[in-house]
Amino acid sequence: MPEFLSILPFLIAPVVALLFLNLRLSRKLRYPHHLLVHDARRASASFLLRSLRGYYDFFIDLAIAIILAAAISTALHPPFPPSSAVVLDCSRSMLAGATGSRPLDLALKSLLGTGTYKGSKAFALAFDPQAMRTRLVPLEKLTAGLDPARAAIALTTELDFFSLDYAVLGELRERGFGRITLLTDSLPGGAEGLDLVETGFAVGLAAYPTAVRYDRAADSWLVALAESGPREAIQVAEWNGAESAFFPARATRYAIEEGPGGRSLRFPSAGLYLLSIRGGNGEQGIDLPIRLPAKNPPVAASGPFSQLMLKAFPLVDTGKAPGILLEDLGSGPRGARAPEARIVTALLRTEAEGLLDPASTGGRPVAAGIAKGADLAIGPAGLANEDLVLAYDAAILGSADPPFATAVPPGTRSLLRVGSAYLALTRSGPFPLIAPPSESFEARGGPALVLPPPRQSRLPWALALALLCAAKLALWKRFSGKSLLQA
Amino acid sequence: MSLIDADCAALVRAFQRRTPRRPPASSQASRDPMFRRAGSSFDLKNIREYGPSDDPRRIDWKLMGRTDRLFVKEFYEEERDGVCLLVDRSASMESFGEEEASRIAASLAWMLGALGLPTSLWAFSDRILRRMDRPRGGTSPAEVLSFFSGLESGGRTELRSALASARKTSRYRRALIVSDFLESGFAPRSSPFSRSFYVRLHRDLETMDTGNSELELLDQESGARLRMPWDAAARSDYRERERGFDEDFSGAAASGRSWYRRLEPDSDRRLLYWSFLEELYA
Repeated sequence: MPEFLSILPFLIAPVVALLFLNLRLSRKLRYPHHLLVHDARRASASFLLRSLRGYYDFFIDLAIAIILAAAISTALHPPFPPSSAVVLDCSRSMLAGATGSRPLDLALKSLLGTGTYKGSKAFALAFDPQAMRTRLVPLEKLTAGLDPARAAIALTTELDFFSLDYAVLGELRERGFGRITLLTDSLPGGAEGLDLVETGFAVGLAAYPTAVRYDRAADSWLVALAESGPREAIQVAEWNGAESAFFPARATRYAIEEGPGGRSLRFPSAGLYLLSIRGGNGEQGIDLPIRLPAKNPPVAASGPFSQLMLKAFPLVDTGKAPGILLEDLGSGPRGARAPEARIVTALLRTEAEGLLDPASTGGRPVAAGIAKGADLAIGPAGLANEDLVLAYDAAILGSADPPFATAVPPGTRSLLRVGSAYLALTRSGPFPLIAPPSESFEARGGPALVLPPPRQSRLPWALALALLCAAKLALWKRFSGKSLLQA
Repeated sequence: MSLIDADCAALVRAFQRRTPRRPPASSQASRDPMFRRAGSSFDLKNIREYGPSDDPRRIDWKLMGRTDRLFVKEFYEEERDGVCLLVDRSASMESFGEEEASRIAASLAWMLGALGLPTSLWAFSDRILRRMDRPRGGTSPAEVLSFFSGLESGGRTELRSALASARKTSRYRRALIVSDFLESGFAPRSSPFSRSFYVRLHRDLETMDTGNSELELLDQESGARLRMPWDAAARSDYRERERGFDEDFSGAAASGRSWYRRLEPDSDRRLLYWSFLEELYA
């Protein structure tokens, strides 16, 4: 209100000045009366109507000034501060640790056990497997009348704790929430545009697959885990395609090897397996569905050089349905017959000046260049290098299907919950989906999350001003009898 | 020449070159009665005996009765008919601009004189303010400027009485009236002159800063104030009256006894001057 009163005089001043000029200067003329109306019209018009006709411009300008002053003062200091929201992070890491001391329990104690967030609308940011996306769930119904401990049980029962897309918090801005508080365990890098309340990152039972590959030397499939916490028993289940369910695998179907960073599992055959680790002390279990790739990746070749290169890999499957295609630039098949994974080679006539990525050649220097549309551009020196085959080996392995995904893969029809993980049901069959490791939340140089500032709706002010301006034009046209084009 | 438009001299020269009926250059011979040409006026020049080449209709029969000889009378050539120029100096001329009106009237007066036409200048409002006769015209602007110098303005427009006075006291049969013609009851057909040239100096009310609402107008002549809504109806009525006013003058002009032109402020006056001269010698 004080802002409104201080702004208003500045906006009214030119309006009053125009009124003064209008009254004193513009409308009084010296002109003969001979050709003008002398009838009773000048007296018959009612006083109010005549006054309006005389000063409608002033009244409308005055209203515009008042609306502008109100709009400016509202923008500076909103009379009704936007409501606040508190959001409970329901990511997988919130369940780490022993029951009662998990980040979720601490956050619920802060949310429900204290009056800090009284008056704030509470939401849970959780993964929705039905919609296959992160969404905001109102907490009022889920936690009504519950203490923090019971509320934690209710939430772990009702909600899916998985990896989250924190950008969904921006929806709260669009709903008009000004102050947003996120109760989370840790959000490295911080956030802009919202308040963060971090309960601390809990390190409890953890296991994550670091390597899944076919071991040619042992002729078996290897799954290496990185683990922390006590080494609890690993239960292995095997996917039965006919039943569309996991069934416990016989002990002869796998072997567990102890390692310093975690255990490794060996399987005699490819397939879809589920590794489950049940925690003690009330800790949440870990479920890791993993698809072991085919022993020999299905590879085909197109073009003389690629066919020659393919002969360097005797163990690849050159069956009828290749998943990977080696092709010379411009020689590969087009259209639906082309596999999704393609490794295109361009042969350069001149010597290339660059090197292939050492990560793809085991650290060996292999000369290569750049060619449009080619993954590998090899010159004469590169062709003469016997380590070139390493680059193709790495490319074939990199193009093979991954053993699991950390985000919902495209083409997923629905999600099937498997303990703490999911199976994405796609056209080509079930595909493992597990939450990314906690390392993926580490700071990467900038704020992890940036929310736009709260927006105030300007539409009502704009509509009011537009209506007044339209009224001004309409009255001007009515009283002057001129069209707008004549103005 | 400050009050006379700069283009007037060029206009007169161009008109004299172009018009075959241009008036003869004034000379000493033309002004001396001994050398004045015989003509058809009533001014007797000479009586002489009838010759074979004379027109028998000009024989003086009374003289023949007294003398039994045939005599014919010779008269001087009739003088070219002059023009009365009446300039409105009433208060309503303020709307058009008094200085502008004086400039137009002075320019016309000077051009008439420069063409050798006898001119009688009259300034009037509700009475005759000033009169000057220039029987021989002349190219000098001094007389014209002295006529307009210090000429007062104000009062009502009394055009009818001014026209009557001019016609009564002047022998010229043509009159050029520079006025706004805002006199109730004046009819353009009722001019006592055999030919009248009306130049209406007019400023349209809609060209003024009228606004779109109430309008208060002060009549310069009567001092009356008129407050009226300046809305679409009032504008339409005003335009209708303006059209009727113009049609009155145009209708009178169509009869051949008068000529009418309306001039707005800042419009091209050379067109007016030229068309007036052409009409004057038509």
